[in-house]
Amino acid sequence: MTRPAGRGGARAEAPAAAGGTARARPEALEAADVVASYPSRSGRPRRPALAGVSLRLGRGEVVGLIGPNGSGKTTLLRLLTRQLAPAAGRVLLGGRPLASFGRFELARHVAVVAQEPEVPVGFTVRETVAMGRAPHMGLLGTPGPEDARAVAVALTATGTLEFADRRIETLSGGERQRAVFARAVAQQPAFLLLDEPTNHLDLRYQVELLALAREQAASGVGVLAVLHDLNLAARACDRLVLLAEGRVAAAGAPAEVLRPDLLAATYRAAVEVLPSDGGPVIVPRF
Amino acid sequence: MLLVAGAVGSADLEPRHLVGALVKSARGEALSPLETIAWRIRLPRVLLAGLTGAGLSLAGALFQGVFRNPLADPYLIGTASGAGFGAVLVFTLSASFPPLAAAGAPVVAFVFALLTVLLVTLLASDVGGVPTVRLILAGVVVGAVFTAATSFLLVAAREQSAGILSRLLGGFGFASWHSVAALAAFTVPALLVGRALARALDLFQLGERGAALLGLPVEGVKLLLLAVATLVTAAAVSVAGIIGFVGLMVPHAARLATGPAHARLLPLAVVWGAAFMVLADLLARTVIAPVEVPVGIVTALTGGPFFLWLLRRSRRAGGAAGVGT
Repeated sequence: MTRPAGRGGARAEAPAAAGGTARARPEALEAADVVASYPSRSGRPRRPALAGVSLRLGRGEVVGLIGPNGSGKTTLLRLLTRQLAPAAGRVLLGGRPLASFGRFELARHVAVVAQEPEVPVGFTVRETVAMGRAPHMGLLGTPGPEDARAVAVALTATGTLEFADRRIETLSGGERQRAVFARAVAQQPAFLLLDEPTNHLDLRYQVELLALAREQAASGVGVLAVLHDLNLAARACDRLVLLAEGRVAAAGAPAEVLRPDLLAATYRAAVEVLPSDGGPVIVPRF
Repeated sequence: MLLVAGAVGSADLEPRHLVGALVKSARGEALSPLETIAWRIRLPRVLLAGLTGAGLSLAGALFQGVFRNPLADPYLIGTASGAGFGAVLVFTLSASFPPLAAAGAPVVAFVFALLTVLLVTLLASDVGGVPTVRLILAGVVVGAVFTAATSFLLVAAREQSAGILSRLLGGFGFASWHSVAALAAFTVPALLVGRALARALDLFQLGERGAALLGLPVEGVKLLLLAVATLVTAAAVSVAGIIGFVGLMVPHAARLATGPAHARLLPLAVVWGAAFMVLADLLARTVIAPVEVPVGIVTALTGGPFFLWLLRRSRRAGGAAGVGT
């Protein structure tokens, strides 16, 4: 299998490149030596969830964030979206500290597809996707032609147009996740963070969703995806960052990161890595 | 509707008396006896009923939107009981404690209603939302405590208690232009705030975390909307008593017609709420005239079955949260 979205699949009318967002767009979202820890109930200091992690996400690339459960992937995502403030280190968007951004301003640059996102019951897919325009309209704004256009582009680009007028809770899991993805696309972000977006999806929808992510990257969006499936990560991502116990254990091209010794050490499981045209294939050894 | 409801009643008014009353009052001319009834009694009553229905429906829709819970309602989550306690506190103690009277029933009712909302939210909140069962349970418990406290006040008030009780049971017999103005002063701004934040309320349906990730200042907006919903509830309760089911039923019915987007839902809920309450009051004062039935009884008797019917209908239509079309 080749990479799902060949460059031929990238279209010129990609939303992020479109007009209306002509303002300076940040070139990178980065975490610099960040430390994060959750307060423990007993008040005793705990092992930090992140102990000095650096990561730079540039425009136009797909970076996969991998690592065993509890390695700090979700915590890092929370830092990058300002849901959590770093105890030490800095999170920068276009060189500016994340904390200096307004709420709506930040949401115009960074969109998130959450793990098992809640869907707004009763709303149509189109209405749900239109919610992605909130950061552009502000608290009291009303949608204008620019917003309608962005919604239309997002529906088309994600293949959700055909069920745009169905209520979102009536969709299948795969269709629903695509609708949520479309909402993030309508946000016209510079960076798109996906938290285990392929969870609970069957093979077809997993591939479809990551193909959509690659299309977004081809149009200039920086995509960071937390992924559990290493084979999927190997094929869909330009670079991988392997976290283990709150530190970066390895980072680089899939073939550099997905090495049997590294994986065995971080996942504490014996694996075999088979070479293939599309990238390394990881199989467990019993 | 305003004219018809205004015309029907114990005195034989006709729509022309209402119109005459309006025109003559505007010109400052003398009114005929029937026009005086229209102007002094009937018109304020119909307007007060309309405003109360509009306010309670708005409050219900706002509570439902913020809590992402179709069963949230000023009555069910205890807000109305808290407001009722505050109002009764003013009615019973104002003679012996003047500052309370100065504050006014709506304000004290608001304070206690807000206290109820905070308490219920605190008791019922779970990570990322307010589950139905816990919300209703917390509302019932907190509401019961306030109802008990209200009963205690009523018993202690002795000779005043009958009058206060009939006020609390819900009705518009005390309507005056003064009470209309007082209620309008709370309800109209609330409508405007609610309408302005309709889109923000839509975002709440993504969950509080989802809304925050789209840039919404979730805590601030939530507090504002809850305060607005509580304020209207308190104002309605202090002029018209505790009237149940309107805030639950009307937004539901409106949602069936418009879908869940609040920009369309809120205005329709407000209009239907007003219309429903005017009709309910019309029934309340005519079914066994000259005896007036407390309007809260009428809304519960019509609202209960209607709500069950809605629930069945929406389930058949496949709506997961009572949202069928």
